[in-house]
Amino acid sequence: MSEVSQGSLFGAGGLASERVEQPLDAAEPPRQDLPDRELPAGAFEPDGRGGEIVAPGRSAETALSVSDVNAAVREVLESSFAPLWVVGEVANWRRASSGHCYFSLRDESAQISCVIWRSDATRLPTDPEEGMEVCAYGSLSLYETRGQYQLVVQKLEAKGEGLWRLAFERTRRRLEAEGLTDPARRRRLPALPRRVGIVTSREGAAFHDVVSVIRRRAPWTHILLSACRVQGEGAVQEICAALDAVCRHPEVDVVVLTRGGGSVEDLWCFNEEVVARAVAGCPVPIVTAVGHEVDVTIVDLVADLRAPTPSVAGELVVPDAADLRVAVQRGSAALAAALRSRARRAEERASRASERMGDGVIRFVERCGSWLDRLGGRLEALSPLSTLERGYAVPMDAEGSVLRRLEMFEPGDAFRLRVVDGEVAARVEATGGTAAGAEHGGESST
Amino acid sequence: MSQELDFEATMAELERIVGALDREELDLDEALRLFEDGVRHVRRANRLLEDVRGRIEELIDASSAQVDTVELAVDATDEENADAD
Repeated sequence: MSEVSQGSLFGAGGLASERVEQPLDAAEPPRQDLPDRELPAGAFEPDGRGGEIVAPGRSAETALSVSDVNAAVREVLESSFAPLWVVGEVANWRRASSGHCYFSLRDESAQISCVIWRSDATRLPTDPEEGMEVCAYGSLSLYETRGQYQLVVQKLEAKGEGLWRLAFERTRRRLEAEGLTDPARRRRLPALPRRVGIVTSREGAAFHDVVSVIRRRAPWTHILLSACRVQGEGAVQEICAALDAVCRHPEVDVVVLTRGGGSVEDLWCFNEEVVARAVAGCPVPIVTAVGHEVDVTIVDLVADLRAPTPSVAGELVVPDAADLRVAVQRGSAALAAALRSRARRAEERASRASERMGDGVIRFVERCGSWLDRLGGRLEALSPLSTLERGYAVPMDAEGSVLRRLEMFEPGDAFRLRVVDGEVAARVEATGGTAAGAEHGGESST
Repeated sequence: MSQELDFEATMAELERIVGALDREELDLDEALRLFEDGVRHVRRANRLLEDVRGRIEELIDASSAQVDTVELAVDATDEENADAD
């Protein structure tokens, strides 16, 4: 770092640190001198003995004040080093009431004092732990009051995503301790929501994705956007307000909190405890879909369901109309099958019954038949017809009464004779032993 | 009755009818009556799935206590996609 001392006011004194060996930013032009305004008045003034310039501090007469030296050293430090990354372990971290943070970075043999001004400190996800290895990005400067040089840190990152991870874990532990991450808290999503609330940015791809998927799957679903910023300053408050607002709508059945992919810092709002609490307090089931599949945020832990992407969130909150139609078809088929089987059962029973009935009838008929046969036989035995067959005839008056006795006949009376195959009209000639009309005799009657 | 309850209730009723037909020894008249009921439920469920467009709205002022919404236009490509599917 020869440029630092070359032509420098303090070059001879070796004020520039020998330990800073490499140029930190090749693009930064080497400084040749310091601006006049930083120099003690008269430092470059000709001394009146022939215009010779006497460098200040070269003699007791031109001695510099402590303040002048520190101011000059500060200027050298600040102008000589481009902002740089420094790796080391965190020691003695202190967040002052002013909001500024003070700590040291150290390795086995050395340490640097560091400060993070409040404006940068508020962007830190959390305070680092003691001894944590971090990379700090900032500018070298001098704290003139103490003559102590320091790194004014603008960004502080733990190895990997250490600090974010640490903040994440701290928040997660707090929420866990309250039971807010308990899977038992998770509610079932409504099977068929009539209105889906979406909390996201109006312009974001995430909103588009969710809407497209819902439109495709369940086009009848109403969608209510509650818009908010999803990153940067004020986003945390806006997300909470948008969540609160969407839940006040009386017909929102389920809420999707979403945003597209981004860096850890972009997604950080969704790791903020206050946002997590707003999600946990959501009165209707809530699905979160923040970033890409690999991004798990604190809100995912307290939501009723976490979707890996906004599109999947859309799929999770509404059913597919095609599936529902299939369900209806199945129901319809089951209904038809149930009726068919019911009808079959009825038919079987009817046919079994009719079989039984048939047997009965046949048996009955058979039984009747045999009765009739037997009866018929008996009836025949009782019938006068067989007698008539043998040549007998039965005299009957007009009313059909059998004329059995002699006194029932008067000469001249008409009567009928029943023979085997019909009747014969007859008249009494005379009564008595030789009466012609009596030749068939009443005795032939039964 | 709201739409989703309607659909679910309709399907549940259909299921109940199928179950009754399957399990219970109803007389044939009653079974036929149930079946006709079931057919009505199938028709109703299908009608509920007809392609009725839901509204897309935005809450006007998230910070106000009022729940005011405004219809939100979604660009045509979405609509076309939705139609195509």
